Amino acid sequence: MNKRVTVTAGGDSEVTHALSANAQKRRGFIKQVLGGSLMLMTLPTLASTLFKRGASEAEMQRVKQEYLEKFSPPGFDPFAHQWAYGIDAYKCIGCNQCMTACKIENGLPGHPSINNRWIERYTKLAGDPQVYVDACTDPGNIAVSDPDNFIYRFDDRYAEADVEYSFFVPKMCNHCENPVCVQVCPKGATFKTPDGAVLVDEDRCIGCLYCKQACPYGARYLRPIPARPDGVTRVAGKCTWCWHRLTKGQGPACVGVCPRNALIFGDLNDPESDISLWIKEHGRELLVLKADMGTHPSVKYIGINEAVR
Amino acid sequence: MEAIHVTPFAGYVYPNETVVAWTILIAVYPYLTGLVAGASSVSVLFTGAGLKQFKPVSRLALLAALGFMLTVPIVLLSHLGHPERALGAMITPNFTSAFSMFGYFAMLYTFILLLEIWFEFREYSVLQVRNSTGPKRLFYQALTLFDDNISPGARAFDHKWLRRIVIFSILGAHGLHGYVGFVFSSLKSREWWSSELTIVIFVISAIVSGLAAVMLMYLVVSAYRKFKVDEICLRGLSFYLMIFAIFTLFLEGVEFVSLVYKGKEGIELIMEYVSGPMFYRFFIIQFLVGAIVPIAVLFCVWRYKLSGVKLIVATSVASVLALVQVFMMRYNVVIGGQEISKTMRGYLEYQVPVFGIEGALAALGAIMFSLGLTYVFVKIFTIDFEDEYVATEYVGTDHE
Repeated sequence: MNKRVTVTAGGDSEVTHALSANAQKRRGFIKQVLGGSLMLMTLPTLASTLFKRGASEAEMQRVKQEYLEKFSPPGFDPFAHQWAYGIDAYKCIGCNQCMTACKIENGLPGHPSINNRWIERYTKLAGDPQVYVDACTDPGNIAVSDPDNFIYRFDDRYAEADVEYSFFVPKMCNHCENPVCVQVCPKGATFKTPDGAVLVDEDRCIGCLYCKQACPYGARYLRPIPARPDGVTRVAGKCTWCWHRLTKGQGPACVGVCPRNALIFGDLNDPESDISLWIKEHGRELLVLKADMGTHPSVKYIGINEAVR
Repeated sequence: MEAIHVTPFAGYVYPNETVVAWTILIAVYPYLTGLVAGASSVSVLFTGAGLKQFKPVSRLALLAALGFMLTVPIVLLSHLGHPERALGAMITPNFTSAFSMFGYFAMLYTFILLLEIWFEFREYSVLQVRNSTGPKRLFYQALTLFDDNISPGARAFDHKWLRRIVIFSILGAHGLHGYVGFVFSSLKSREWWSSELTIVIFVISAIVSGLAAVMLMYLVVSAYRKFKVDEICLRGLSFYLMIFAIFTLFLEGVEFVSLVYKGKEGIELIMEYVSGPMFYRFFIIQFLVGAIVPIAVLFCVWRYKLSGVKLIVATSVASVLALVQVFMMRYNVVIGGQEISKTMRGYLEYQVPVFGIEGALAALGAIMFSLGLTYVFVKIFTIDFEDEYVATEYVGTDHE
């Protein structure tokens, strides 16, 4: 059956024409296609929101169990821990042993531009308002280092200078509670584990490096060599707190080699752990990097000043 | 081990920053989406707004938009570490990622654009079916989806729907390109990107690049085919180009002045950077040569009503410079943003290599590829409104 439709054209004349049943069908179809597209785009978000709001305790337990079975190494329960990392800059002597250990443990190249962690030297000279910063990529430091053999040193450029103060600051992924890298990863290849570590699923990562752009701390890079024998290159790399060691009851490699115990790591769920005791002792001094970014870093510092970013 | 390209730097930058992550291909990416939005805007001047003087470039602009759009994913995929996994980002996306949504928006817009082109050239395709034989006939039959109805009623239906689709198309094109601006401006880690004006500047400058590109293509086509340029059309385009170029210049100026005036942490470093390694790229090429000079030329076109060879030379020069300006703006956003270190204590001095996937030739190749695609589409369809069917065209609509 035809339907009469009145169309006003130009305000002064009326054009009336019939739309065939076919045309109406087509119109209905196009409407459905458009409506369907919108539904398809919004449904997953809606469903996940409803699911999150309506999840019961039993459901949470089920998800947790599934997570343990699918993703956790045998014998390791990530839900039982809440890892945190402390850095005591008063103690750090800039020996770079942590960097060496990290690179060897995690299969990184010796190249100073690809790092899970590095150490920065902050120096203030008397009578000079500027604070000078340098690290492993500084040409002066490279000249006295041997990156091919994982040996990194700071040069002695300030040996004759009138230094007001100078200190070393180990830097690394902050394993943020609100990680921007996780937020921006288009495929969800970067994720936060229940125990607080931010990891990269190398089998999912597409290597777009949006995470590298988003990380305020410069903690990410593109992997030039595989992390493990069956691993891949050209995926995002970062500090994992040596998660492969954590699952075996060991700590991060960097913490183990620090000769001054400047690096503290442990489980916040254990009140007697090193990190819990350290935080208890230094609670009023604790600082995080770039707090204004709203990322809530899990790496806490003492012994740094406002020059450190 | 893969080669690690270290960028020279001044001051202190985070060690991992010395390997620049997004290179010239990523600058080409917003350049292309901008050209899509701009070309789509030019097309809509006639098909949507009904401005008859822009009819000669309407179809060229529409086909160019498709040529540019289909090159966008190629550019993005070429830059990925693992392009073979890219589809997974659409199948299992992370909905909090601005970038994951781009794929959906791009697909949706491409669908709308294809629909628009299908309606626009349906009548032409049907005529091709009727006037050809063999594989060519089959090809055009496939393009018409085996429907050869071009009765007055069917044509009226086509044009009614075309006018509706055009609305979605223009919204989609600018929405998509604005979204590309959001992909950059939503990152709080970089001061250079996180400006509230970025999206607006992206959209306005897109119109500049689209107008300039279509103008230039039209001039090249007319020179190649040796037909007289429609001066009313060209003058109209150059007027719009002048207006949007002024608008872009104003917004870019406001953005920069606002950054300097706010003087947040690290402004000394930014000032050192823009007056140092970025000086020529930013002030000379982007602002002076790319914006002020073409605006002056286009002002002369408008004020003195230039015609003939003078008009052609002036509009050619202005459109080339405007295209350079917009590309330099994209480059200065993408590369410039990464050159300013997140430490706010130093900057990098990135040099574009000539060869390789991250090189200038690859970027040029991508742009040439989009132009090649446009050429193919022009060959398949047409940029003219041919006499044999123009007489019966737009019956029952107010196009003409």
